[in-house]
Amino acid sequence: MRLELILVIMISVYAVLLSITTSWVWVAVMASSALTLGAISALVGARRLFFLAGAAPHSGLLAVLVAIPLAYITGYDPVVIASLTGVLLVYMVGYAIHRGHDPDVSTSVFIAFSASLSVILAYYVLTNYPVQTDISAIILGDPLLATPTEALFMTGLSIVSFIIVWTTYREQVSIGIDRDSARLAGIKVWVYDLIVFTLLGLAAAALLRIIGFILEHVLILIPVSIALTASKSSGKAFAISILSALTAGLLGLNIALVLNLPPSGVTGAVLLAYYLLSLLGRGRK
Amino acid sequence: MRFAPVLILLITLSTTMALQHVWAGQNNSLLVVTTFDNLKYDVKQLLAPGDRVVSLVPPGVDPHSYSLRPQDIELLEKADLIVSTGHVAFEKQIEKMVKEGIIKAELIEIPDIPGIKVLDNPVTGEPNLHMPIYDPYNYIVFISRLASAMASLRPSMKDVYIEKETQVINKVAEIISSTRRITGIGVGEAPPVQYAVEWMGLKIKYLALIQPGVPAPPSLLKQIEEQAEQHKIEYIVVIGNSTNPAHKLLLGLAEKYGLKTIVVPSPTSPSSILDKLEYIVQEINSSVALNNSVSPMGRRDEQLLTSQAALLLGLCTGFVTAFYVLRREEK
Repeated sequence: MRLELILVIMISVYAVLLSITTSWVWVAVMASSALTLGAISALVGARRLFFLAGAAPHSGLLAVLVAIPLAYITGYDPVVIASLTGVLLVYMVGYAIHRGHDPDVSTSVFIAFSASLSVILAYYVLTNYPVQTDISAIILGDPLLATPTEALFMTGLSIVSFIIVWTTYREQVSIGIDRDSARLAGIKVWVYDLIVFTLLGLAAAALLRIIGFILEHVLILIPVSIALTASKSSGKAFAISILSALTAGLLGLNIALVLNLPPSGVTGAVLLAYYLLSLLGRGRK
Repeated sequence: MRFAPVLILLITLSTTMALQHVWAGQNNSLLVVTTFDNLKYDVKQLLAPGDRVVSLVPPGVDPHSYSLRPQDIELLEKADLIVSTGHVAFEKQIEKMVKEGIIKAELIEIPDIPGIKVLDNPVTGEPNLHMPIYDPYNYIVFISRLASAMASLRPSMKDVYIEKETQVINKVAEIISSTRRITGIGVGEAPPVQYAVEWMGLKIKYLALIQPGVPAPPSLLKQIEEQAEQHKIEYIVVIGNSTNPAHKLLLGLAEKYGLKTIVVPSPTSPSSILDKLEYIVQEINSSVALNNSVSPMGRRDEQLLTSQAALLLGLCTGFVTAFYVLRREEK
């Protein structure tokens, strides 16, 4: 039996056992955020958009802050407003990249813009709106306080994200290797660009309030770093990205419960350990 | 005669200024500045004619994240009395400015009023500084201190302040005497609920938010659920109109395990503590408000083995993932 399959079975059984002993909501939140962001992480590696991936949580923060007064004024669901805003913000960078601007420069400008506007908006919202908003909760995240509805929403999002990434991964890798050749081969590059930017913006904004800024950064950036260090093929990179994120998410939750620590931090620590291991492995090879 | 208009203007101006000065000296009404918006409603109960009360934090805005604005400093410089809860960052800044003499007003910091009983946070063990005046006994102490400060700042209205103080205290005493005592263990949404309900006999043993923005650690959340399942916790105390995830979590537990729920008004909502206490007492005294269904007792003992097995499997999965990361790729 292939090792990937064994790992998938082990992770599934582990998730079920953990649900029985803790709470299915916690397990669903950690597993689905790991699956969503692990898949996006693989996509980021395929398209070499590391800098933009690092900026995604910034756009998520800005989107959440924009959504607070808008939801208050309009009465619409803040998660929907934040998700739409998050997608629009990432589209701005995406459009610049699509038009041929240097991705790193475009992203730098975007980070400067979103960070500055976030500070201004945070101050404005906190001092002018009758909304009990806790910025520290958005930064640290409180995955263990998620409700069953939020857990189900995240599970749905993770399944959709995984399927989209899985079915488009080969084309994304081709575009990442050589954009022009991919275009000549008949791949509609703009469609795949749109997929990447939509997933990044949507996941960053929708998950931010639940899992927090820090866990988002960790789960987008580290799985792909492990994958690129440990693998030579795009297929294995995809598998490592998702499997390491899932293992770290569940193990992070379990260790956090045993040691009474925040799951976001422990998940990051587990992923970091895997990254160090991958470096060790590369040295050995 | 060319200078006559200028002379008349100068005389008019100087007379107006002199009259304003005399008027200000005679009409020494008070400007009271409160840090939190809700404190404004408590101060309002004692005001004499001409007195004004304003708050720094706008209505509904979370004071824990508030920073002082330039116009706030101007207002504080004009104030005669400042009422502060003395625990959030901008209040500490005000305390510093008063100590350094930048602000001349008298400062009342609630936790420092002699006679105020500050409870320990049941999770952290640290003093709980989140609205101690939600406890009616502390509220009486606070109202007395406030009235005496206002009387000493404006002695001509001393009788008015004392009369209003007596009215408020009598109402609070009536609330205390008419409230049904409740005993048992409860879990609260956030630190202020401890003051809102413990005076009635209920013991808040756990908090879902141990500080504003800081959720309870994982083991505590697990413990809360276990205790709720075994009915070792009888009450869930949540804050009305809260949007915090902890609120939904606790209401979910109450529904799942049939726990009694008490909803207390947010301490920062726009009304006096007196109004909030009246609301709570009404809720407590009407037995309809407390859902009291009983759910089956839990079974948890055998779960220890399962959780150890889960951890073991988790570690095995971790090692297999590590092996997978380290494994050489087949050509």
